[in-house]
Amino acid sequence: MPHWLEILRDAFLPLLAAGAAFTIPLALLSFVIGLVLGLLTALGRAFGPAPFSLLARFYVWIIRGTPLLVQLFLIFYGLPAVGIVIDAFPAALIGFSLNMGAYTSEIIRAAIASVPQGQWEASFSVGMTWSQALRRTILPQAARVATPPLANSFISLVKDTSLAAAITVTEMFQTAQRIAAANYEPLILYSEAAVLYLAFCSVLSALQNRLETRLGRHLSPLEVVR
Amino acid sequence: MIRLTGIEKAFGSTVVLHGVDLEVKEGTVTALIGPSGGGKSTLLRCVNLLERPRAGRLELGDLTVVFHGDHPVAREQLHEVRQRTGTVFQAFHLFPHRTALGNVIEGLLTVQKRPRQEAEARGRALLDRVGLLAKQDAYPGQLSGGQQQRVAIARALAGNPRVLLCDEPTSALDPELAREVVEVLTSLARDGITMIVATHDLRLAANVAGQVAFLESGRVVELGTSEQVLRNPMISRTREFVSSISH
Repeated sequence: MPHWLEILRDAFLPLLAAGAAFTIPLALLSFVIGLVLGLLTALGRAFGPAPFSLLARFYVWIIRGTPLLVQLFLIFYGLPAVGIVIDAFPAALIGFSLNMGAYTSEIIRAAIASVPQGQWEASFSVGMTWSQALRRTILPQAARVATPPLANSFISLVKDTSLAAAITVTEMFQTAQRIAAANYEPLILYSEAAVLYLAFCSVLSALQNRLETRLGRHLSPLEVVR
Repeated sequence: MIRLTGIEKAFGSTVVLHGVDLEVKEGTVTALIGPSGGGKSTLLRCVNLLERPRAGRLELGDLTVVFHGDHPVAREQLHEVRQRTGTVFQAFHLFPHRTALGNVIEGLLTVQKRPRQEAEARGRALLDRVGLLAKQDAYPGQLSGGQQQRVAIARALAGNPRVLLCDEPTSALDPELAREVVEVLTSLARDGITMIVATHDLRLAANVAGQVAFLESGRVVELGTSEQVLRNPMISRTREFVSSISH
């Protein structure tokens, strides 16, 4: 077996293990928490009373306007200075969730706005309350519109989890760094890590396609844009 | 009895209804005709409370809602009004992600919390009533405009409302598709469904309505039987309008 293949083989399991233990759970949990946060933020901004709306705008302004890496450093290295000590993984989880929440809130807000006003009126006319209309009529239609940009965010998130390496989370990229530091084969190690990220993201792309098909099953062929 | 008394509605400083009075007896049909911007749609939307009048009184059978200025309508009253009205919109507004049957039973499931089987049985009966039982599993995007509007009529009837409000039900349809909708509404009228229909379509008005109200600039300027108002209007403005759209 050639030398480079041996290096690939020896690093494969540690990288995969780091991915399974940190990268994937971090991405998945941050996305789910971020989605909930994003929905609440979008609703607060679009429909809430002035204080909620203002709070939502402020949150999105801060998070979008500062680098993710700086946010992670603030949470992990900065907060202990005021007595708040958070372990590396939860610190990363908080950082990524807040980030996802801000970006997805804008996607969700736009998707809700894309559903015609007549859909609200039709829902009210059959007797639904505002929250029933939101749940039964508006969100299912908004979900279809939001799926491609949300998948974008999710895929970006999977790759951004590599930033957690900088706050000592032993995720996939940091594992690659460690092995490369020991065997002096950065080209091979980082290529292997890149391929594994690509594999994770390919699975997500495939899931996105299935979800779009499912959410769009009521559309006539002319309405489907592939 | 459906009774509107002194209904006033303004958007900002523009007053669109100046104290409208109207009575509709159970089992009868009233058509609202008149020029665009005359207040027909707004008046209908004040009956199902998609708009809140700033003054006046709305009676739907034994339910009375009184409007004062910016006071919101109480939740229970709003709920009652929506239960007692069914609405057919000009642009149908079917739920695109639900099948024809799903559209019809949506209110039964979500609002009235009926068991699915019972709701579906009623939904199928209503689709049959508008001649679309065969299309129960079709999505709105797979139906013609006329079929969509017939599904919308079935949806509006599902909750067994006291009054069916139709806002320009045929205006988005070509004459052929409009005819199938007129036929359905005519047959509902014959069966004694109480209706208020805002329309430009004088054929629809003549077919279904016993009473016709001519609205202009937010006022009922002429009110009478359809015979009177459409054939022999007393007011020159009505005469002018009726002749301008029948020729």
